Amino acid sequence: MAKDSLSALLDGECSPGEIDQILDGMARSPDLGLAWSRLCLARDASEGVRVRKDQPCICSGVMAQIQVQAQMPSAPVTRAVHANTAAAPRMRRRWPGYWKPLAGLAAAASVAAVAFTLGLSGRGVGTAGAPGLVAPQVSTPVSLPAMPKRPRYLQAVSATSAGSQPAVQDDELRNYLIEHSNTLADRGMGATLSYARFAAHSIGEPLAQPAAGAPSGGEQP
Amino acid sequence: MPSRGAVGAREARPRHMSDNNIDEQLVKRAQAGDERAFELLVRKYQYKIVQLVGRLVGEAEAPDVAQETFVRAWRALPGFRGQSAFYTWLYRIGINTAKNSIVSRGRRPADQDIDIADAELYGHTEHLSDVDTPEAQLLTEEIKLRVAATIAALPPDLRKAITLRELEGLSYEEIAEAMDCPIGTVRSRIFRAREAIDAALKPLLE
Repeated sequence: MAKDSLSALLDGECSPGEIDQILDGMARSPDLGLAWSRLCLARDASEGVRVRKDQPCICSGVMAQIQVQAQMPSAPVTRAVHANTAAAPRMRRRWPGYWKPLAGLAAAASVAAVAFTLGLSGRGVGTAGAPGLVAPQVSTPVSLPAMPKRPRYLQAVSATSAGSQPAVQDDELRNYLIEHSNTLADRGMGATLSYARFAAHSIGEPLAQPAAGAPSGGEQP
Repeated sequence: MPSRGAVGAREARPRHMSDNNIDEQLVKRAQAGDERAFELLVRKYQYKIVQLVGRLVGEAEAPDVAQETFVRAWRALPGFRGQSAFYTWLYRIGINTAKNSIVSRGRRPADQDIDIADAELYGHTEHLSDVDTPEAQLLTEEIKLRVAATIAALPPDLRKAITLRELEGLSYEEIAEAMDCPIGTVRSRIFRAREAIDAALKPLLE
């Protein structure tokens, strides 16, 4: 009767009650397990699974390992692995939470540094007031006049719109860039570099001031 | 003999539906801590897993890696939610275990990439069979021949029942209708046919 049930189990035609009977029967008689193995082997072989003549049955080894692990104090590892697996998505979801304050801090620090630099520049203090901090930032744009294209491009923009009010354009452009930078900073780190670049380029150099001798229509690169 | 075409036809039908139901029930019992249920699953899939990992790590290491595959599967079983068939899930663990074994031995993984979908489609990896040893191929062919010869020698009612089940893939209920007999009779006939096949295969496998 039990082997009959095994055959039905192989065909997926067993009721849950019969599965219980089979499991109980296996506990009593190891032959039942071997019979199940042979049934599976015959089906696998007829389906093309390659079988060796001395094919070892790994079942006893597997079950022995499982029982050893179950008896070890570290048996809860099973659950721990599961718990870690389940916790992984939660950890992943937390990452943005960690980054947000860092991004905010970085953006705030960069804005504060640039505002401080601009403040120094606006008061005409120049680099002498804070040699350690400001001098490297200012020194870079000071060397930039060797690259005439950027000012000329900006000059062309201002010439078409306001013409006689370069200072107003300069302020508007600066305000726009600050606002743009702050908006980007609110979203992440993206604005820090661009704002720093803008600030570095704008310090000590009027953005819309026409360069002496430059053509008014702008120069195409 | 289950010819190639017959096997293909068998795979085309939803054979795995009932298999999956049984697997599902065994997995649920195993997840509840019933090691005997897991043992049934190990016995059912051990040959396929040995063959699978054997193609990646070689025949000599295949049993050890297959054993490790099942132990890992047992550990991970609480996380198995049944979103795929149990064998598909096991197949994936087998491949990962084999690859880890290769890497840990400082060898390069096989160039041949194995598609997980093959586990669903074929239930085994015939597309890799070109790396089989001639002995294994020979034995497999011999088993197929022996099964076919045994089925051919069965009494007609047993032969018809096992043919409708194994080659045509009919359920017990459908076979009972086709043979105009109770389901219990079908079940008994199929069992007796399998006993005859088992008896014929024993000398080959021992």
